[in-house]
Amino acid sequence: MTRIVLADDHPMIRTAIEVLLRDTRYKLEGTARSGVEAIAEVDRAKPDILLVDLEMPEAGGMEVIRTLRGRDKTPRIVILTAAIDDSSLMEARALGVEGIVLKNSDPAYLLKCLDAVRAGRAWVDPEVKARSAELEVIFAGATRAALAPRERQLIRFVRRGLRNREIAKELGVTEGTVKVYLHAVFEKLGVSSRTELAIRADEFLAESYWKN
Amino acid sequence: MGRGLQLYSGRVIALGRLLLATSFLGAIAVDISQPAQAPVETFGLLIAYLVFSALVAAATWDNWWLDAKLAGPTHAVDIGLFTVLVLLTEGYTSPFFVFFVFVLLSAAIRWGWRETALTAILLIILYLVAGLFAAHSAVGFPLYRSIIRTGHLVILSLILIWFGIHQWRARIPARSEDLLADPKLDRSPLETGLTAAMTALGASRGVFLWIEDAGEPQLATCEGSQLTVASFEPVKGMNLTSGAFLYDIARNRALTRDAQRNLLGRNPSDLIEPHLAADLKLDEGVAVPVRTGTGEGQLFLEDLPGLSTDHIDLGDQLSLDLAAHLQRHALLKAAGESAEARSRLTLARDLHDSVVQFLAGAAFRLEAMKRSEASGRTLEPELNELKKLMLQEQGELRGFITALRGGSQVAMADLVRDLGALADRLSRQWAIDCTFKSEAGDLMVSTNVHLDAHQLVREAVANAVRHAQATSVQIVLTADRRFVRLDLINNGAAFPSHGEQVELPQSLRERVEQAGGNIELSRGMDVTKLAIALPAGGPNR
Repeated sequence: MTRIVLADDHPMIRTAIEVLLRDTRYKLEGTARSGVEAIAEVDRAKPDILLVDLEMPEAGGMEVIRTLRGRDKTPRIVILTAAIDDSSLMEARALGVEGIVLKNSDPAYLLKCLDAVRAGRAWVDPEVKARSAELEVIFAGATRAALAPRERQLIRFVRRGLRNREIAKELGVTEGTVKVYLHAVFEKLGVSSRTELAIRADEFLAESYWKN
Repeated sequence: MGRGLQLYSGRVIALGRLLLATSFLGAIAVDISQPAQAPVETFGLLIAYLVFSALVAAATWDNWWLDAKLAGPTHAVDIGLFTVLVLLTEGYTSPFFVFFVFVLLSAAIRWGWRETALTAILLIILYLVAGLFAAHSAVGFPLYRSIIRTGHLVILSLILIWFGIHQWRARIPARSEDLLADPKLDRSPLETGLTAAMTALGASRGVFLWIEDAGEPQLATCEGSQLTVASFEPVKGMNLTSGAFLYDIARNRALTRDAQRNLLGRNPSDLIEPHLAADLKLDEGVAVPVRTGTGEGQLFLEDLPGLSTDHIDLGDQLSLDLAAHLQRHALLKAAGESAEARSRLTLARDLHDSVVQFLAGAAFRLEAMKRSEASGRTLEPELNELKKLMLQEQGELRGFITALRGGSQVAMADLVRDLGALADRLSRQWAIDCTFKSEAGDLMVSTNVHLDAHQLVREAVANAVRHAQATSVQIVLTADRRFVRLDLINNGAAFPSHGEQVELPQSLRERVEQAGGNIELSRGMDVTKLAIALPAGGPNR
């Protein structure tokens, strides 16, 4: 049996997946309602596969994936989400996520994906695959300088609407340092304002992860 | 300033001069003791001055250009006449004192404090010189009288110089601030700005060209009662002046004021691009530059009754009022768009959390049933469970839609029924003990309150379960004519706090603020109480 941990904050989804996995070769070892719970559950159950939603309270799915990928031993990861933006898609690809399934696709895809991942292959939802191919073409001619991990983190904070003081608190640096970082990011990406950076954050991040 | 007679400053000065000249002549003719010196020459001079005053009044009454051009020479004539009157007249009928006031007031009205001060100094020197001359040439002329009067003139001069600095500026008869106080969002600010400016100055024709940063130039035109706003071909080189100016395209005349309020004659083509003047069919009027943080433009007002140099001052006032009007409109529009965007985001979030997730879950369950059927298992319990969930979701969605498109008010009984059903549903959804109790009377509440209460309960319960691991939530509804109150008491962990400040869930706080209500969080006896008060009539937007 392949052991699975499911992280999704919506009870309807959790119950449905539990029912779907009944009488299959998969065993639901645990469920989590938030990112923090997901990591704790992975640590406890040590599953073969983590099935994770992107939109969750406390820590989102991408934060969970980043944390787990920073470890030596990590379960195979399948993203189960209602929607995925370009930057998350490219980041997931860069982090070597094994599967991506959209909740609005054919529900049979989930089992198909789990089967593929179980067998050691990657499986990506056709809609996501098509978008990924489009982005390949778009970014093929990209000339912007690559972004450092800290710069990407800064852009994510700006996209969330955090002020410099809040960003400084999150990063454990001074407000002045955040201003210097931001100025460097503005220069690198050729943007003139914080608003422009926030609006185009998805594009910048996606391109940056694509380069990785 | 009378609207009927349109007595602008040039006309007031010309009329004042004419009346004074008539009065001097009459007074001296009646008083047999005057003129004290050279009677024939004095009468001749006063008659000549009367004719001069009449000619100036007639020539400048409807001609701002001549009024501006003759302002200096007529002022010099007035000063000269003052000096002669000091020499030739004495006693109570001597008009020199009144004339002194008139000449200084003219300077204060026309120019400003510098010119008033210079005029005052010149008049006092001339008065002293004339006094000295009279003391030398006439026996018994008391010099001390001239010195005392000079002191009086100095005091009066200081008062009039102060008046020139602070007091006088032509003012718009109907305050444009009032006319522009209501930036109607359903109309272009150019329309409302143009019509208000025309009303303020009584113009019959107006053109307002506006170029928003990174936007297409817009042109508002009003002739009589016909008002149009249309996009305009990109304008090159619309160099805005720092202040308003008068123009007469046909006669090739324009008048501006410099920083010292001196009137400067200009060529209109230096101020208005000739092709623009032709496109806009400009003739004669006042041009008003308008600048805001997001754009700039030029307002042209024509067919103005009694167009005068005062209109330069009036134009400068209009410029500030129009800029404030455009900015106020932009601010209101931005606030409206922001509220709309927030509503869209809230709606999207609600739909995502309810409908999208539910449908995805239902699809997975159907897939599971399909596989169960293939393995020969009975589907009835699964189907019944799914049907029940679907009916509940449908009921909730129907309530949501009804509230969205319904009338302005719903009965409290409907709200009580819906919240009771929601509490049951939340109990099952989160596997907790969620109870609902109503202590509200028979009232009508706004549909917004119905919608907000529904979403707030869903969100508050979800937060209590997700973040505080609550296993029981008690919901109590109370209401009076002013407020609908919801108390949600859960047995979960305390909310995170910074010092004594408890961190309220942001989305809850935002939703309550948008609804115009307030939210309070308290902790005690191992339970958390969230007290929400919503205005029963809905938000005061």
